[in-house]
Amino acid sequence: MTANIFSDAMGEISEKYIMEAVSYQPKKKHIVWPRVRSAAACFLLAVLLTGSAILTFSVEARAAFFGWVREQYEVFYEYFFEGEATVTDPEKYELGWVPEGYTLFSSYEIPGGEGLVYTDENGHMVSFTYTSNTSGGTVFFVDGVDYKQKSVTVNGCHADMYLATDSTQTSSIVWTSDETLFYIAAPLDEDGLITMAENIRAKE
Amino acid sequence: MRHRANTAMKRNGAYDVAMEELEHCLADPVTVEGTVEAKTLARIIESFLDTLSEENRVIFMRRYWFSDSYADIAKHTGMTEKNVSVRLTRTRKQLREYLIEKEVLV
Repeated sequence: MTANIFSDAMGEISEKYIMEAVSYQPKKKHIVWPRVRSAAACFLLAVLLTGSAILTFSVEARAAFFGWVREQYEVFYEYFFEGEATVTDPEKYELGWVPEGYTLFSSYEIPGGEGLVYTDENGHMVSFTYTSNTSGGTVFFVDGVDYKQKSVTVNGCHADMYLATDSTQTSSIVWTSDETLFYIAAPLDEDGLITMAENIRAKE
Repeated sequence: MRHRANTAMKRNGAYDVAMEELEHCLADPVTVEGTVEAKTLARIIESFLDTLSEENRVIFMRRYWFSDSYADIAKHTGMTEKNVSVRLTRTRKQLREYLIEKEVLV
C-alpha cells in the first residue's frame, strides 16, 4: 500500500472524527459534545435545481452548464462545481447572528473557503462552511437522503433545507450565491437556520 | 460532510509531508494493494480510530487529515512536541499491526 491509497481513504473518513479533532480541548477544558457532532454536513446544489433536472437528461445541456450541481450517490448527495471557476480571491465569511450563548470555537480552511465551528457552554455546536471552488474539482458528499427536504429562500436565493427527522440528525441549510456554496448545520428549527443564513457577513 | 479524496480539503504540501511519515508504516512489498478500495479502507481506518484513546485519535487526525505540524498539535492538545511525536510513532505502529490483522497488509 502507498500513502496515496491511505490518503484517498482518509478523504472518506467520517466527519465525526474530523469534528472531534476540531473541537478537542485538553481534559481540564473538555466540552461535552451533543449529538449534533455526528450529524453529516449537507452541501448541495441550491440555485441550480432546475438545471440539475435538465442535466439528468441531457449531456449536451450538462456541457453547457455552469454552477454547483448535485447528484445522488448511494446514500449521499454529491455536490460538485460544473464549469470553470472564476473566483480567484474568495471572500471570507462568518455568521453575523448566532443563537444566544454561542461563540466562535474553531475554524479550518478548505479549498476556496473555510469551516467555522460555534459552540455554547453546553457543548451544542453550529457548523458553518463555505467554498468558492477556487481550487477546482471540489466534491462534497452529503448525508441528506434520509432527511426531510424543503425548498426555502435565503435573501431571495433558493436554498435547500434538510430537516432532522430524529434525534440523531441535525438540520441544515445549503444555498449558493454567485459561485459560492454555503452550508449551515445547527440544532435549530427552520426559522433559526434561515435567520442565521440570512445574516452571514463578509469578514472585515 | 465527506470529501472526495482527490480533492479533499486536507490536500496541500504540508499534507504530503505528513504522508511521507506513513510510507514506512504502509509500504510492504507483498501488500494486497489494489484489492482494497478507498471506501473500504476508510471504514477500516475508522474502526482503528475507535480503538484509540480520544487524545491519540485527535493527534492522528490533526496530523494526517489536517496536516498540522507537531508544534501545532502540541499547542492544540496541551502536550509537548516530544509527547506528540512519541504518540504518533506508536499510533503508526499500531496502525500497521491493525492493517495486517485486517489483511490489508500481509
